[in-house]
Amino acid sequence: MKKKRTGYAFIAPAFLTLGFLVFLPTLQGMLMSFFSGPMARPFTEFVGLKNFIAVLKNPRTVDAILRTFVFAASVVVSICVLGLVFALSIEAITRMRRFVRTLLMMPWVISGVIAGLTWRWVLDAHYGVFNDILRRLGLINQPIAWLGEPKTALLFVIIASVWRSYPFVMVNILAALQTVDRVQYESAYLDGANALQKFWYVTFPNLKVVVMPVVLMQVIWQLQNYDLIAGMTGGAGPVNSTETLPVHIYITAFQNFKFNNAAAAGVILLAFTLVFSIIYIRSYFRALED
Amino acid sequence: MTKMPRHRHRRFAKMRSTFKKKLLPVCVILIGVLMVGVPFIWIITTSIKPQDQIFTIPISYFPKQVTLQHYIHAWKTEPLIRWYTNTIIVSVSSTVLGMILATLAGYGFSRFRIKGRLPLLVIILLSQMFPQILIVIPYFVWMSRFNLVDSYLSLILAYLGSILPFSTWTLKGFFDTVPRELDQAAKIDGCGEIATFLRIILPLSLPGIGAATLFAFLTAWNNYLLTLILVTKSTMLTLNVGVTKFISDFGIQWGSLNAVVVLTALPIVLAFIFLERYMVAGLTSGAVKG
Repeated sequence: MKKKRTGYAFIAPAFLTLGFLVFLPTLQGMLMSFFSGPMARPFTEFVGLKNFIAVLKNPRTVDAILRTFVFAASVVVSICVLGLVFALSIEAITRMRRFVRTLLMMPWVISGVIAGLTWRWVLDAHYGVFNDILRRLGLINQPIAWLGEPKTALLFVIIASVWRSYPFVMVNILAALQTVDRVQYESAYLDGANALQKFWYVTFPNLKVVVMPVVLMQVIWQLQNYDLIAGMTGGAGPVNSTETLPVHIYITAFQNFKFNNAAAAGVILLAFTLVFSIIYIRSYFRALED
Repeated sequence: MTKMPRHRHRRFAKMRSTFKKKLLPVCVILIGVLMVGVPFIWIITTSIKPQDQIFTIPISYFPKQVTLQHYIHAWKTEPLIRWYTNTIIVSVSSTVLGMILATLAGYGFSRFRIKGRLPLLVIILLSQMFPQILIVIPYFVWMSRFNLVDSYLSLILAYLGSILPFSTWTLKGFFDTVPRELDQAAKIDGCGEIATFLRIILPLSLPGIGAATLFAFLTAWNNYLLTLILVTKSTMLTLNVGVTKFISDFGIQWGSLNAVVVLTALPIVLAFIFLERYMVAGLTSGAVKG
């Protein structure tokens, strides 16, 4: 390794930029949450924890927080299962692997809004594919507005997000599967293991190392998910049933124009993502030590 | 039961078990292909169906007539070309800037014995995980104060903030895989630090840089939240936000909306199909051990 000084020169531009574009606004946002003022001058008056109290007293905020966790947890668990199932299936076939992989990765390449809008049209009550298929299968006989009903809107938002995000897990598991030592499989076979045992004792432990950071990244990402929800239901959805914390923050800031309250809610969201970020970083460095 | 010679029995048994082994993965993959394909095809066919055929029951899956009326209507009612140019300008600029900074920083982290290297790396990792919805609030306050709302500059800077962390991290990983012996060989041949970087290491890392660039471009192109907040004029929108202009309180112009969805997603999907190998490499750079 080389001298320190040139090294600093290499990393300085990126750090300065990040300082201005990420850290400074984050700090400002955090500060904003302790102040109050009109939109143009949000630092007019110091109010301590007043914004936080106001935000947390609002039942809508508490609902949004709970909903965010339900959303994130459901999505992450589902994409792990789906990603694993697809990765194993791709690994099991011998022909057209790359074609299938490319095809199954498609949902991840489009943007969150586009994915949301796609599903919005698919789920259209009268003219959407989903209801049409259900009708042809004889499962329903009336148009049901899946995204219009408070009870089902969140469910389908979760489904759409799973659809969009599973490729990320799938691709990483596929890559990890390639690195598993064939010898371990052979010795398992010689020990008389069947398919299920082979998976549990050979495949799974090797995957754990790779899947952990991927899962954590997705948790952090899904907690902040705004684009897809906005595309699917416009944001809050019927009776606010799809209002997660990011959506709530957006509404507070840019529809109710309460920037300071929004900043406070944003700090709460930041706290959640920080917890998972720290877990991620610790697990990363622990893995490095191995 | 017919008496079959033993060797033939064994061959059939093997065929049967291979068939069973392949049947499940193939079924799973078929379901996956449908799951991905149906929404995409639905969007495309809707965008080329005449208006009356979109809104008929029962739904026709394959358009009896093909029309470009929705694309034309979208182009007439909204500044589509502007949206395209805006998206391209902002995405390309932020990607280029981001990649220059990230390459320098990635190389710096990989090759130099920087004091506090680990904490700095942690900072880069962390900066990826701050909620964009929080950062965007101070962004908006700043940009309005500097009169930069509705400007390319504000968008480019904002996008840069979202591209830089992940790109730096990925590129550091790629540089780590380039053997140090090359650096030493270059030094023996009389190259200084910068010459080593520019003439030896950089050309060898092109695949990795290419992967990271694609990824960064994808992130930029697909951005929604930043543009949503930093742009108010219709002519300065990007495609992803512009597409939502076809949703109003009076209803959704599904034909035109689907047309713009296709126009927005098509470049990325095409790029992905051709460059998929590199994108996957970029995604899984963290997955493979050692």
